[in-house]
Amino acid sequence: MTGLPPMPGNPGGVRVVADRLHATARRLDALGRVLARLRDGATWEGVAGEEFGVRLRAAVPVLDAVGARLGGAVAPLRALADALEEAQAVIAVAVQDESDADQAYAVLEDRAYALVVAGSGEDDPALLLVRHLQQEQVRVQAGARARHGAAAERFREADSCCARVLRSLSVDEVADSAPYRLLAAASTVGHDVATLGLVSATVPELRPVAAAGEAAGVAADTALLVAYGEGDWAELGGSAALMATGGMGAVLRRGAVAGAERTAQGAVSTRYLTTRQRLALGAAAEARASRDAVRAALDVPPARGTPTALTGGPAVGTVRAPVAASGLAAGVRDAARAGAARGRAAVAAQLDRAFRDDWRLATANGPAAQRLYTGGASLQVGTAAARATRPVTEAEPAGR
Amino acid sequence: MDNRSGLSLDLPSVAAMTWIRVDAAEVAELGVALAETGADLLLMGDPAADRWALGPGESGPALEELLGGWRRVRLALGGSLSELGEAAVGAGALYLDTEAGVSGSLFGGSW
Repeated sequence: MTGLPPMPGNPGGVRVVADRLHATARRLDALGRVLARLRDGATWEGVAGEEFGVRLRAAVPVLDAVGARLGGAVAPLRALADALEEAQAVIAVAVQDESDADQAYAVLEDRAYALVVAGSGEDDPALLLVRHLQQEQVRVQAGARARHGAAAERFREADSCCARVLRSLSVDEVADSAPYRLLAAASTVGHDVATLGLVSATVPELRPVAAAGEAAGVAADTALLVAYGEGDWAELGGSAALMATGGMGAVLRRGAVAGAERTAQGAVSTRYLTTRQRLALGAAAEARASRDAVRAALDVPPARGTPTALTGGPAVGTVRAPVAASGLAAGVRDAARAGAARGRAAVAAQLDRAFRDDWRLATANGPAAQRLYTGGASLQVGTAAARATRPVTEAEPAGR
Repeated sequence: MDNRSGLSLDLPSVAAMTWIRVDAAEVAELGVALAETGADLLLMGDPAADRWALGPGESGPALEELLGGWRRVRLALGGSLSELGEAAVGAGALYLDTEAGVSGSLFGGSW
């Protein structure tokens, strides 16, 4: 006799998923409300401002739709978790009862066999008692199976109800189209197969399969890029303002080191990230850094809130009047020069260390992250150089 | 110092026709929220990982479809929010520059 199957699943895990969806839906809802206020209460000027406004207007209904999609799943998932928990509790007891009764039946059967071997007939009181006890165990097993079946049926009903709601939520304006799904699946499968390339180094027979997989993945990626505008580097061209300020360089550098950690053994990559994901992480890190800079600037007391202090320069109280070089003794001047040179060397060494440290992290993340980091560093250096270079085409206005 | 170069960065600005109270720190905070939400959307993991918890029924595949079946909009929204976040943080810094300019004129400073 085969035992009853347990009920798989994890009610706690379902509640975690529901809680995550609830938190995400609330976050998107709050963000959508803020953006809706901005959308309704402001008119945006300038090319970038108008673009900002357009994107703002486009984002609000999408945020609403996504919030409804994810938030709508919370209640049915929690109900399913309760049903799963109840079913598992009943089924666990039923499985145990059925197993115990099965073992007891087997022990009684051994006893009956011994009695028969010893010469007892079927009407022997001892054998009749054993048969009676066996029938009791059969009834216990039947009861356990009935409870198991009923609990499984109750769960099936709850599961069916939950699935119906989830499926209805999935049919909305943000759902992927069928052709898009095919391409996205081809991209994933193609690149998954392409990872066989690592194995094919030792198993040559797999080499053509890996090559075909990579080709399929690349073809699908190309189609996604052309048909749906999903490309990593295409995103870079749109951020003209960031390019102008050098912010994009910082974004690239921060993105390149994301997902890698420093350990005692050196830099190690802890998570695979696509270039697009790296860019988003870099943008978020750069946004946090800029926000902190804004906060720090606003923390300056009003009396010291001079333009230079607010924009990162020294406050009035810390500015010293320049001392004429001629007023310094030669020894003091040399000492000052040497000190300044040492300071510059120390700062350069510190910057160099920071660069090498980040470079190791980017290297741990692979060649794509290295290219990202190099691009970011070049962009920052280029922007700084452009800032330092005074334009020669503009004539100085008279009277300045 | 001439701050017009800072104002010509082509960052978002609010038109004079509409009154809206703008706080640099709040705008920067909004930018961070946008950028972080955008990154989270782009980083959403494999929905199949959550499927097992739902047990043997139909809900597992339905949840997988719900979480994974909007990839295109998710990537577009994630990218868009990231860019909006960057622009908002940039605008926060720009408002700060403008406030600093006003402060400078009040304190007799020069730009």
